[in-house]
Amino acid sequence: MGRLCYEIRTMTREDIFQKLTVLMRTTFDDAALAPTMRTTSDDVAEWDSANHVLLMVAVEAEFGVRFEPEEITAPQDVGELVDLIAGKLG
Amino acid sequence: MSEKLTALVMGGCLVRRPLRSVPNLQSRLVVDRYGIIKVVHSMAEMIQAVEFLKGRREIPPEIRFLTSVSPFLKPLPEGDDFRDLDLVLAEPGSPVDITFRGFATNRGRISDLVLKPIEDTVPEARKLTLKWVRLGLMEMNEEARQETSAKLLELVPDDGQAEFRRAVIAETRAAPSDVVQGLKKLQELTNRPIGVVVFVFRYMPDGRPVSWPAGSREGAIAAAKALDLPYFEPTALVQQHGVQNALEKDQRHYTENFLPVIGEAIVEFAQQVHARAKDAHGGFAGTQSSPE
Repeated sequence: MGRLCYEIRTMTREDIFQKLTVLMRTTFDDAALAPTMRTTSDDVAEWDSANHVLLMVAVEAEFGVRFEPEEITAPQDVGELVDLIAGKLG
Repeated sequence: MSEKLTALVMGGCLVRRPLRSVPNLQSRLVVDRYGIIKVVHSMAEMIQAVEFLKGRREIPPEIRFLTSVSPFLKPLPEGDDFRDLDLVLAEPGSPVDITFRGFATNRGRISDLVLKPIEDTVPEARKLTLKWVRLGLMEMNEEARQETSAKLLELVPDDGQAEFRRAVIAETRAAPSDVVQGLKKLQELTNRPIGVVVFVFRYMPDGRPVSWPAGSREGAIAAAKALDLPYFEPTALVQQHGVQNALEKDQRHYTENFLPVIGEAIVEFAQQVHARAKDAHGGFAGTQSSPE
């Protein structure tokens, strides 16, 4: 457990992005989804408000972080979500 | 036995449904005294509806379908001026005011009447319609609005409504909604105490409220505080009863079992709004808020 926590805490932005990509593919049920840092909800057909909540729940569980209510819908694209997660881990 | 109150209720299903569908609540809070005002999201829609009821604003019949003012709603008799009204419950649920030819329109009704027929004909258009609403209107991204409008115009099905639908897509615009100024205007128009019902877009599974767009819930609370208006925040009640019990699977709408609970709380809030205004000798209510 201690090692897992250490690994998560020392993740790079790219590591976070890779893990996030896996979560997005699962949440949006699209194995071929290839997001970039600039991908927004408007680029992904299944990324609606309901699935956004599911994604954030999955992110919290995967990275062991907790978002404040105002942070849950704040990220404008994948890059901002990566930054938000990185900020929590830092 | 508390006195029976009359409220003008303007908001979405989270405030309208509990008050209108739970038996017995209407014996304490009359909500349709002036006719049924449809779902309202923005401050501009609320003001337009009140101006219409006061006879200060006419809305062409063909445009009424896009607004909260149904074709069946009628202005108050001359001189009435909300004589029987005790208070207003307002649930600001949009950070933008959406207008078509100068009339405040409702994004839900635009989706139903203008966008859905396109999606029914061309299912692939769903991505475009979402982008037009989400990005072009709600986020006021003018580049996205123009780009998606141009594409959608070509997809409008050629039926008797084609010309009207094309006009709506081409001419609808969004502007930032000033909730503080909107609530002030509502006070001026109705001359009644106002209680703000905070709109929560969705909830996380543990009950944390989710704003959409970000900050809209917090903006409504800030506006109420700035004007020293009482506000009702449903989050604590939802958390107390648990998201699974209080909300449908969409984590957005109240369950049938929770409607009487939230309805009772809103009626009590309305009574407090009215009582405080009375205590203030005809002035407006002082600050009162539900715990966050």
